[in-house]
Amino acid sequence: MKARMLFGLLMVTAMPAVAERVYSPQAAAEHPTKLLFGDLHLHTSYSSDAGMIGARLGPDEAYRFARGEKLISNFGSPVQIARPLDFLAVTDHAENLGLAPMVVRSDPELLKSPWGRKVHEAFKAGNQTRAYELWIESKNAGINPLQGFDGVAKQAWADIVASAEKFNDPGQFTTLIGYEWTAAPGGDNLHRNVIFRGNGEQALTTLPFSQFNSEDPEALWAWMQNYQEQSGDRVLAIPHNSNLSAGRMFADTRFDGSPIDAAYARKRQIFEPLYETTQAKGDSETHPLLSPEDEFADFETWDVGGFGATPHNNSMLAAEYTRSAYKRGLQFEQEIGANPFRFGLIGATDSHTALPTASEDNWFGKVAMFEPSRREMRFTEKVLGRIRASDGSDNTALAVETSASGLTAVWARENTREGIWNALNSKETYATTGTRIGLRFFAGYDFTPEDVLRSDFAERGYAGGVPMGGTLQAEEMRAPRFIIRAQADTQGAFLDRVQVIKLWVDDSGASHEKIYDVAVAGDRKVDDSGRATAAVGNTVDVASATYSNSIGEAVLMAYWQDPQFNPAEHAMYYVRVLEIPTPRWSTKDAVFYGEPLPSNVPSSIQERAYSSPVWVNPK
Amino acid sequence: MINKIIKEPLVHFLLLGWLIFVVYQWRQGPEMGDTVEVSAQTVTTLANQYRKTWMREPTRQELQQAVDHFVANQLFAERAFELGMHYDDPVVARRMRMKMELLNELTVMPPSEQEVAEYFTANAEKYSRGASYTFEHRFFSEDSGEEALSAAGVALSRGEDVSGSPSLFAGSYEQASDIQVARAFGSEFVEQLQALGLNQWQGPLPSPLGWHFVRLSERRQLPAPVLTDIYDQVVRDVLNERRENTRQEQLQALISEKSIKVDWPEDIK
Repeated sequence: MKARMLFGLLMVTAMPAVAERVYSPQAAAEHPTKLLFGDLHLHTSYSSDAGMIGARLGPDEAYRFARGEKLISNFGSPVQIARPLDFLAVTDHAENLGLAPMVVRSDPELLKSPWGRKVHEAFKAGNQTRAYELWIESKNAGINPLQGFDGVAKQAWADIVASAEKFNDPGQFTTLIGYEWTAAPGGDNLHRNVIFRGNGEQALTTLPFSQFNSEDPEALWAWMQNYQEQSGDRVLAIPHNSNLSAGRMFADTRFDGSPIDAAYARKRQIFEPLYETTQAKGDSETHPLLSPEDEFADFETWDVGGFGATPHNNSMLAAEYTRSAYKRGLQFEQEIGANPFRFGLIGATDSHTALPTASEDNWFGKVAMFEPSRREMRFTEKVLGRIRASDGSDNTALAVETSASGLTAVWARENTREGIWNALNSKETYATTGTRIGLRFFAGYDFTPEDVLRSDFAERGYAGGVPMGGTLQAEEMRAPRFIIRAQADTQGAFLDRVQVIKLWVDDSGASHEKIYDVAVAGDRKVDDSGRATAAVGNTVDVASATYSNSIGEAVLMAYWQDPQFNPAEHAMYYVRVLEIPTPRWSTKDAVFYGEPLPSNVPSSIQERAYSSPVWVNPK
Repeated sequence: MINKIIKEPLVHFLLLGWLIFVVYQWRQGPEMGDTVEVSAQTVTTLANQYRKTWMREPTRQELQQAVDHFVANQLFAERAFELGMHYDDPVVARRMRMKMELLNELTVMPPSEQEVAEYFTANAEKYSRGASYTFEHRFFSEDSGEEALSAAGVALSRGEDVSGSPSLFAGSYEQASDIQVARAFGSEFVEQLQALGLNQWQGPLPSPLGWHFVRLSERRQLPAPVLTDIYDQVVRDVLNERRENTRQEQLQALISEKSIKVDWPEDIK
């Protein structure tokens, strides 16, 4: 009872204040007008698994690169992003934050610790591998080797916050303060990035909460709540790589093994409004075995379980992918009255190079050692599988399988910390696999086909419905209608199709998914079941790693009404936009270095966008 | 006059050369003669190196090994130099060049605040934040025919409102910077905006996605950044430029002392 009351209080504080009425129509424009692209998951030399193995560039370099400066990469190549990002959060691992730069500069705080001296000694003697192993050993044992030597973390956190403060340029380029909580019990990935809304002064009142403090996500939420109360700031957590969680990211149980209850579900909704569904270590939207009728399901799929020895099996899949988690969430809503998996979607790089490159033609790798080069490592080095699965099954993932992905798109009022954070918190976001596809849609009951064409599309959308990330209340006799616009990346490939993916639970408790092609390029037909089965074609010339926009469309639009809506059912919808095929990064590499095309990955891919869903609460 | 001489980089360079010569003489490294002398200072340096690497004192035996190692290096190096083995060794050449360049970099002085300010003023263009544009905008899809486009142009110039093809572009942009326009429309579009006249509908302008009509109401040079905001960046740029300049001067000074002859093989044109 008491817990419930406390929780009620928390809900109230999380609600946005009611806006006052404003006379001026311009100033009163309440809805977001800016589509911004950025990365919310990037590591620099301050992450021990980057800085101890070749990443030289730190947070300053990351921000300079993201806003468009030309730099020299970790391994010495000139590198520049094709278009600056609108925002960036450097999210270094909390676990022994800043170890590598402290070793390099022989920081006195580090040398106070005997373990710090040992790592320093190995590193300075040229044995970087040994220094890295010393760190990995203690991390895997779950013991903080710098226990009692907080000075290191304090110094590192101060550096990172100072860097974010230095490069934040409201209106032009926003830096968000953040870090990664890297819990992975037994190697099963439960990682979360924590993103701050506020400024450095607030962030410096705390130190990042690490897996050494606890591996339980609920402990992280408690820390977040405490920080918010102490500082007046706001934070949110974004999990990623459910595909490497060995069935734990979207499990039916809490960390301690007890079943999920409504209080847990509501708490998770508040602290984790988003999920990072596509990134360098594979795509987590769905899996071909979970969605056998989805011909686009097998995209950059990593089927290896986790970082550790937990053997992977197909029964884990449902708790490892976004689409199945959404369906499971609706079932929970029906069973216990609250949905633990009610999150919007973003994409990110998770690069460990301080270089947020997400383009197929400019991919600087997952870690510094995989930067572009003719070295075999770029393709054949093991990313996962150093620890063999305990049942001997193959759990290897190679560098060539890393994905040049992804980006976070937000519809924000302003390019500022508050503007972006608020858009994240309200889930008005979508993920892309690295390109800048434009996407906006609204769901409501009164939309007409003409609304899609209106020049005040967005005003109409907000007035008559909810944007991506929103919730509708089901109405008797009326099915939700969608107005959707998608636009090709100005400097990228044209679009193949726009799809609405509907997920729902029937009254027997069984979950379902159905894909509707709502707009397709060219003169292809959508059949009675809502699908256009013909592929768009493929213009990729593998010999030169080029493609042409001679197929596809620059802009696709749709008005769509759910033909099978049942107001008594829990349902949700999200939009997926597919580009025409373009060369994968490994194809560009093969052409650039004159090497054979790798056979274990496709030569071309269809980049895509995944929107945050709209949920419909049943009547 | 004296001031001018003192500021001249070539003077720095010559002075430095003389200084290096004096220091190397005075340091009295191991004698090149019948004996190899290892000075107390060298032993101390070796011990310090050990301490720095291993974070502890070397034992007497470990220090002896370091000294033996040092002597062996000297003996081999001395004999190799006598034989002229260093002349055609690209590694030695590269190391020597690196040493010279590094020494030379010591002459690069960090700029004073006044020098930073001067550089900032002289290179204002480099730090310009570009322009901002306020304009109304109508998009027409790629497949819009010539007739439709010219009809739209006529209607717009008559003051009629034409909505164009649906898209995610906004109908108007307020003080969008170069970078923001480039992100939304592509970088070629920025160049087109720079050339447009004000307050009349113009187009169709091409972009990778289709056609655009634009009525530009304001094009404004954005205020230059304040030096204090980008001070570190300017210091970096000054130091970079100075390093590059002195490197070039050093090289030119060396070139001027020699005549350089390259015997190009006949099969290379």
